[in-house]
Amino acid sequence: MGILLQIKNLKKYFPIESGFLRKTKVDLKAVDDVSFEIEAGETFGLVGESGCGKTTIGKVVLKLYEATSGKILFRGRDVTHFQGTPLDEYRKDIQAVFQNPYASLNPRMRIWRLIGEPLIVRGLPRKKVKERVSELFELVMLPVDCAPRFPHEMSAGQRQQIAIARALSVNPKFIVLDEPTSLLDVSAQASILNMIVELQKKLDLTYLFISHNLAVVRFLSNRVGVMYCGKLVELAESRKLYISPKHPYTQALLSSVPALDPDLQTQEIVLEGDVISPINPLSGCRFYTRCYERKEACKENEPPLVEIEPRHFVACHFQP
Amino acid sequence: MEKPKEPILEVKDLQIHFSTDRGVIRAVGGVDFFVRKQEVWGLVGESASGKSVIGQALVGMVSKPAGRIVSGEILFKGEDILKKDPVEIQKIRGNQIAFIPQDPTIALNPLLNIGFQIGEAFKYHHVSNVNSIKEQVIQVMKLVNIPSPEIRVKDYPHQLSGGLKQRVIIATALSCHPDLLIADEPTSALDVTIQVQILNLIREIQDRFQMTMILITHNLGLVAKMCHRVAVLYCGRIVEEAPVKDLFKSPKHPYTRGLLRSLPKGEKGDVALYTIPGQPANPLYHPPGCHFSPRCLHVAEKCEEIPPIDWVSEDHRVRCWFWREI
Repeated sequence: MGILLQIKNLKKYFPIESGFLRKTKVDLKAVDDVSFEIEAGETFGLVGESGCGKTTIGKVVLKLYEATSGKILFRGRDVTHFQGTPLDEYRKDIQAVFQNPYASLNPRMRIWRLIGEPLIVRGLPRKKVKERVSELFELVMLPVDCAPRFPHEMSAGQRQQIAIARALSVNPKFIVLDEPTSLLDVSAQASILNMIVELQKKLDLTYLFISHNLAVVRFLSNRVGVMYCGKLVELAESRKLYISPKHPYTQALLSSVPALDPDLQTQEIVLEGDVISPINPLSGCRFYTRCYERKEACKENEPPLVEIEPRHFVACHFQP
Repeated sequence: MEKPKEPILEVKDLQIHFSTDRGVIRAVGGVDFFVRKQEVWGLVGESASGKSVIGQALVGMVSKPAGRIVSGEILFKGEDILKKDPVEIQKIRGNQIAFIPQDPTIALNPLLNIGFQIGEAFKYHHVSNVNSIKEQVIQVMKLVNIPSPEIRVKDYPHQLSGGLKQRVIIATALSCHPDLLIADEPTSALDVTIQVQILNLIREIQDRFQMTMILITHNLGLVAKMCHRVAVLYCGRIVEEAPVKDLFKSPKHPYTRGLLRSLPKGEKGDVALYTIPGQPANPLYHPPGCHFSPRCLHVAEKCEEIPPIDWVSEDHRVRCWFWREI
């Protein structure tokens, strides 16, 4: 399998102005030097807690944000500074499903119009749009009779089905799924997750799956990257990461999720304090303040992401 | 728990309706349960199942005039809360029964410093001089592990992180040493590493002060970790109630089973997740008889009648006609 998307030393800083006359400028380092690649046909999971930069990466890949520095290569072509027509072309191949289906669907549009909108924008004749929309209804298993309805008549799960259908309308190769099930109930979540898996098989899709829910990421992803404060701290195949995590943060994160069995409640690793601010983060390891295995060296030097086993990368000074 | 203790709270046939422009929403339709002393009792359900409304009813916070408690009794230490007048309820709320709301960012007043907000309940219930309030505030702040409480008392909510805000809320709830603590999704707005901190704190305090707790949540992992007994709510009715181990090992109601099976557990490439067929029920219209029947695989003619409560074992009850057969 070839590499579909490559991210090289990606940085996204948001300038913050403060102080007298807003003259002091500091950078909020949302994503700081992150590199990874996504193979065609796989699901790459990105996990981390709020504010770690996972959504920012998704938005930079979608070109909703301009990267501060670094490169995004899609099928080997540098798309980082695409504008105008090439950008439109790129967006035919890459689509998104967002977290909140109450915010991502225009309440004044009927369902068929919402799903057909990307095609209408591309100038497809109305008849063809209708044909394609009914195809899409079938694909995401929405009953056809809801086509003339409005989003407020649909449940949260159905709204997310609509958002998926809309993303699929232009036949993309790659979809960024940004927490698509975090606002759904367990029963709706299960059907959306099944659908995401099915569609990948049927349409040969590649996913970037962003979530804070570790169980959901495990269920969907081939490989998983763990982020902390704008940095990738560990990257491995999903099975390996969940069974033998190497980075202390990954270990703590995995142990924090309560098991679904009262008899299997393990002793969790409790981290001290809160996540540090991505404004002026520490010069050394960003996890230093909360790490339970920290040593003096961690304060000074930032650990690079190194391959400790084939396809298993960890950014920690003290991992074998 | 060694031996079952006597109940501190008993709820009998509680019904709560909300009138809206589009009709009456039967949010809670006849709920019976009891909570034993020093126990952690879980109430799980999906959105709109009525779990938060029950929690609010217990502290007399069902918003009027839309919300109406149609019938039922809420016996706290043997006395019916619903028969008390607002002034008497105020004496219980915050003092003997405390409430931890879901979202700490909304629950705190942004214009008042946290010391004032923590001390407010104490000031109301145990009037005393300013110095002793301050002392008490710092003491509970220490209890919930807020670092350097003497300085932090003067902080405003926006200066605190999500985890710290939730600690402030817990401190507020604990300031009068309540007997019963109702926690409505206490950690769902928090990240997992912070969630662990807060859960351990709640458990430690519950142990130390021998408090009783009602944990309202949609997260079954939390239930497995924290609760002794748990009730599953669907469309405003308890469909199953059991000791936690029994519920996870041998769920009886088709809804509970579906819920447990639809949680993602495996790796990529494993079998597809189980899904409960159909859409969640419309709160304006609950199907007659068993509310779950339109989504149930084992539905039969009999399900058009409301199934009675049946006892699986001493502490395990289920509301289904066919739980023995399925």
